[in-house]
Amino acid sequence: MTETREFEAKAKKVFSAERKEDIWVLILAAITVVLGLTGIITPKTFTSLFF
Amino acid sequence: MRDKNDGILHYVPGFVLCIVLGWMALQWDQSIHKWQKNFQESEKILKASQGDGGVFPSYTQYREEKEKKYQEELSAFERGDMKEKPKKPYLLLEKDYAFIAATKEIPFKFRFGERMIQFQLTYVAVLLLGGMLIRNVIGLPKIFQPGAVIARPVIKPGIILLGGYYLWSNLLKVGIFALLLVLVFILGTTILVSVLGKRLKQDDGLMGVMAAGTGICGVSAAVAVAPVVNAKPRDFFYAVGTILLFGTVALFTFPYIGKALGMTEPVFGAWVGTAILNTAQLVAAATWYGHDSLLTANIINIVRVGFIPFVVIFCIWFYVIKQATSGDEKGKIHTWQVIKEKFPLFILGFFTMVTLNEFGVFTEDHRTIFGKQFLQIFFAIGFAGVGLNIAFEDLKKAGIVLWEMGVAVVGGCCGTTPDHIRALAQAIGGRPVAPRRAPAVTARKSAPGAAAGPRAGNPVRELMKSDRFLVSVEIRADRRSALEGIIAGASSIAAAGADLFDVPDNPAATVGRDAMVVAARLQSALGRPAFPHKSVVQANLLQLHSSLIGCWDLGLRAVLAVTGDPPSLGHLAGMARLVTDIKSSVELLRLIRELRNGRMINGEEIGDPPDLCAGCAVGQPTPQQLSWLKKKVEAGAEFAFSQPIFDVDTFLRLKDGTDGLGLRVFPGLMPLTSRRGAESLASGRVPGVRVPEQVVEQFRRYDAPADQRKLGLDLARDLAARMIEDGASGIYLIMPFGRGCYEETASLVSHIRKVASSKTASPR
Repeated sequence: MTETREFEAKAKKVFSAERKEDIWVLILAAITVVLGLTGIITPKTFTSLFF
Repeated sequence: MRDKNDGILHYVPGFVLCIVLGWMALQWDQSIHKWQKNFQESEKILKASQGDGGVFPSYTQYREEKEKKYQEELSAFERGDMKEKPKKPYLLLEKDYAFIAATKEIPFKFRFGERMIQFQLTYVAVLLLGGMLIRNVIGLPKIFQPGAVIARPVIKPGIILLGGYYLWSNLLKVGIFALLLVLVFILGTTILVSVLGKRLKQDDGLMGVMAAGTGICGVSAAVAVAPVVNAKPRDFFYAVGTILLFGTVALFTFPYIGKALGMTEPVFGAWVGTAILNTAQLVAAATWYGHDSLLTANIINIVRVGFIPFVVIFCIWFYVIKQATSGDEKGKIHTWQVIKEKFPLFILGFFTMVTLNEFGVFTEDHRTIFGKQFLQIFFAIGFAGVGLNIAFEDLKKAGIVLWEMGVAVVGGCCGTTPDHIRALAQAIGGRPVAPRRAPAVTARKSAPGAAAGPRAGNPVRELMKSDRFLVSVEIRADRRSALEGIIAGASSIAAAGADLFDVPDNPAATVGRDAMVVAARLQSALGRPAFPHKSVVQANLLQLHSSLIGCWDLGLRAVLAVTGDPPSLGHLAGMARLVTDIKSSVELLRLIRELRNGRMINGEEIGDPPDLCAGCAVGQPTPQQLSWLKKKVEAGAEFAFSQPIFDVDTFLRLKDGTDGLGLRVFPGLMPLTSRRGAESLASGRVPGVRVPEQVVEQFRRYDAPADQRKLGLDLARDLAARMIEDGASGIYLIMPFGRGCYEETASLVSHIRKVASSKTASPR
């Protein structure tokens, strides 16, 4: 039973962490889209990063 | 484990390292792609000059010629003569053009770029192979490790941004194809692994985790399913190890296999989308192959990852609901809750991008920025994290264990972190690997150790094999009665002719005296074999092992293996917990057989193996119950006690169904004591027990409790006589009369014995 409880706790922890991770991922993607739509980043931004 | 004082700074060094490696790899990628383009342009120039007798036009002429051709094509496109808009001409730099004109050779770096692309050594390969080399050759200092782990999910924003490349119309078109692939291959894998696991008698815990892990998405799904199927840590790490190995091998080999087989990018995308099963590795392999491959693989991945909650629901149904015996367990599934908890949220971001694209929010430039350029930036950081987290040492350890246990099913992974790998290494490392240790109690053909198989001299076994008509009486070890009183009561039953006594193990999940102790005391005091029932849902594996060995040490020679009543049915509901180390009586029977053969569940040997004669229970004689009984016989059952029977037809069906199974079956006889009791059992409230309506009708004719009690006893006497007449070889008598009703039980035993004797004396 202890093992089962440990797994239940672990599963909850993992999914809670993944949920948090997904929220950060969504925020990061949203920032990129906003920067792109507002013209702050352009196709030249990427090429300017490299030699 | 992370230190409590670690903050966000803890992750900075590793994350910065991934950004730097990602930038270097993208710089490399930009360079080799530019060189490859220059190589192709150089080839065209050389070909054109050969046609002109080796003459090279000047650079200005070359540039004007290209510009003129472009303008002509553009006009043709505007007139509608060309379907696709021409691309702006690609021009070599003047110094490169001059070099080719002078040497008539393609510069080395252009040829190098072409060769690198041929070998697919793009930024994906550089990051994965480079990260892996750093980790395994130089070693990744601890300071970089946490950041390298959190760099992996940076792949996900890239997947979301890729949504800007799709329209709902083409998404649905490819999505239906993806859905079919997912249904056929992914869910097919889950179901196949689950069913094969059952057929091969593998442990539910291991196979449930493997089914989810290989069917959907590695560690995430495995973690989701592990508690549902009561997986043990070892099962979990076996599954993760398998997933880890296959995913890594697939990542590095599939792109080359695809090229060797001449797969187009969409076909390769469909292949890796279904086969690799892991977001990070799948995206890496598909990106490695080409952008179109990524577009196809990504949709399949999105559909598949969205299936995680459904696979969890399937596993709950397959491993819990389908096997549940109580209403309590049957009510365990909460579909909406599972979907809400397990649905990967980032997919919603992807669909938002598709919707924005559908509404025309994105221009071509936006699509280039999101779906190609920033996608590469996010992927590069993530792939650096993936590469830096591949450690040969851990793979080797995982491989050894998987080889030892015999890997049958393989899949991909996601979310596998060094913590998982470390835990895997800890779980398997530091001690010698046992040869093919099965987590479940599975059938074995041969056994080491001192003893093997049932041995002579077991009095219960000898009784079971004899021709004697046997009466076994179930004595309830009620906690409210003194043990001495129970023994005194049972002595009158023994005197009436009972051959055996059996003691149930906390029936109805209520606390009773220890069945094993009571059985031992009965046997010792009465001189008749007695044995306990052993329930699997009330004891863990340690207790089961020691109890079974303890039975033998106490001089008991049999045990009745039962699943038992879940604690939720009893008076300690909510306090006592269901134990599912062993989930069924079949597994317990196998454990008894293993112990008899001198081995524990994990293969370790024991001294003085307990040669217990194993019994089991059988429910109403339905095809399912009879088929389940066959499994019990295969697992080592030597006799069976049926649930209480209340009419001759049921007995005859039981007899017909069990004749030829090679074990003695005792029909259960439980005298009813009241109308209320009969009605209660007729309602089907007790699983596996059903009183026919005509019996209840007879009780309804009597109002006085004493009359009802007498009727119950008379009906039991008649039924016992009929069953003996119709060929019963024994009777399992369940005391119904409550505490202190030993005299009535003794009189019934006496009657049964008399009928049985008269039948033996005058056979038909």
